[in-house]
Amino acid sequence: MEQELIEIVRTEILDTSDPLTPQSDLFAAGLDSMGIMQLLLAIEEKFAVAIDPADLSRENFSTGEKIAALVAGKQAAASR
Amino acid sequence: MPASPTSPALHTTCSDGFLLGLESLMRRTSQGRHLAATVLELEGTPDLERIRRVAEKLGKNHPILHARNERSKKDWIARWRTDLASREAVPVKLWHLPGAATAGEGIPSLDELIGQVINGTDIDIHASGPNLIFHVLPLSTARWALVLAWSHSLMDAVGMTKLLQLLAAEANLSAESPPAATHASPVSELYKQAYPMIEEMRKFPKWRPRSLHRKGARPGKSRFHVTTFDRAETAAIRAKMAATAGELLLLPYFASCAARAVQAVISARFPDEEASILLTLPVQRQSDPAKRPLFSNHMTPYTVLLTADDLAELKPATSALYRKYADFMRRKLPVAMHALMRMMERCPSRFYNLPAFIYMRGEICSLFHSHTGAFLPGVDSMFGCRIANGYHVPSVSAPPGIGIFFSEHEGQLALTLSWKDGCLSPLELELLKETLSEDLGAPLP
Repeated sequence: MEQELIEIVRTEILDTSDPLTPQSDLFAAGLDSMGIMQLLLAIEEKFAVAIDPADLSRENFSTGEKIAALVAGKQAAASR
Repeated sequence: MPASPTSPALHTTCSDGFLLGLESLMRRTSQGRHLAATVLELEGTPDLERIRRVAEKLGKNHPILHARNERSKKDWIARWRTDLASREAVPVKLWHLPGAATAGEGIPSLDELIGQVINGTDIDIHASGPNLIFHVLPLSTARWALVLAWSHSLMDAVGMTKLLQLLAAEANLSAESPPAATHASPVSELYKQAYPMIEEMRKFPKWRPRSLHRKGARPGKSRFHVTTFDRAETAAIRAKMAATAGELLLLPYFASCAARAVQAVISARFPDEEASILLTLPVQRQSDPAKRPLFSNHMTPYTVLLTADDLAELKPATSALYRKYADFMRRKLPVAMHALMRMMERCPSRFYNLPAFIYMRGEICSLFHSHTGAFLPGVDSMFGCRIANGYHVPSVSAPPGIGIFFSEHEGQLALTLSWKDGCLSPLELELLKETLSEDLGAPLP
């Protein structure tokens, strides 16, 4: 999931050929408010998970790794 | 230096086409020109020789800075005629405040200079001559202002950021490749692609969107008010935002604050109506700054209609805005909007506003809004002086008659209110500022 999320950010949101790893700082790479909105939509579509505004923190969205952890947590909570 | 016969005509994007339509509306109704001022407040004293050297290099390397915008007789699409432009320096004008023993023309204040810039006639995109002017104003012995006057038909705030980054680098002011021209698709094909957006626009009249433009009243001068919140106030605004809508949805949050403030004034003006707000969010299509051209607007407008119910409270307003944005994206309306703009780029400028006037009861939108994020990220000095503050002041047209813009520099949020005389009474301005203050959680002077 980490890699898939990174690819979404890289190709659909940041539109960059620069390499990104799951640990890359996405805000330093150019992720902004509008990019976050696009990312939320992509997460909803690909992983069938809706992110609550309360979870929208810089900490949770700083890297692909952390976003993947958040999404996985939401998926687990939904399947309980 | 004479005009270069080899300079190509630069493609004008379809966003530029829309802005040309707006420029045409403003000129037809004696509202001046669609101009903007970018203000940098700098520490120290200006090094005029250095500024003039950079202005000369910039103007000579970028003929578009002296080009005029003209519709082609072949396909009617507007292009920048760089082949007719002289390669001249960007003009540098020097000013001084009362009592200052410095060179230049006298001006009462920085605000007065900005007012002159956005109401000026020095920049005319329909004629050869400067489309960008530098104004230098020493404010004290330790501070000065660089005001860049520019045409909105030449670039947007993202392009201006890129230009400022080039100016800060100074050495790298070489010309860039012109934006690639897209082929003119048949109108019938574009109409099919644009149809979902046309259908969407047909739904707008029943929601009675309103702006602050008073029908029948001739709008006057462009006015503005800039508020720079200090670090403590900015932190308080950020904390309130995080508690209300999360830390990251800056654009929908600030757009909701702006929409609620305008709606408060409209509700006071029409107490018996449940007026809706039609918000057009300009969003850059190119996320990667390296792919954005220096000149040309590359925005995609996302049209969001917020009802009186949506706007009743700030938190649900932000959620409603996000929900409607998501719906706009899911229905792939940006593609339809882009096709509509490409269809319109071949129409005479005055046709541009026709859909707005037909489907939106004479309103283009309820307000202009943008959140440009950090002001000049990664740059802390210009011409050897530390940047103490920076903000944009665009002029707006009526309709809608008002614009509310946000940006941030070094942890300080700046808010620019721009409006047209005649669209906002002093009492209405107070109500607008009060509503904004309450929502932001910091006082507006």
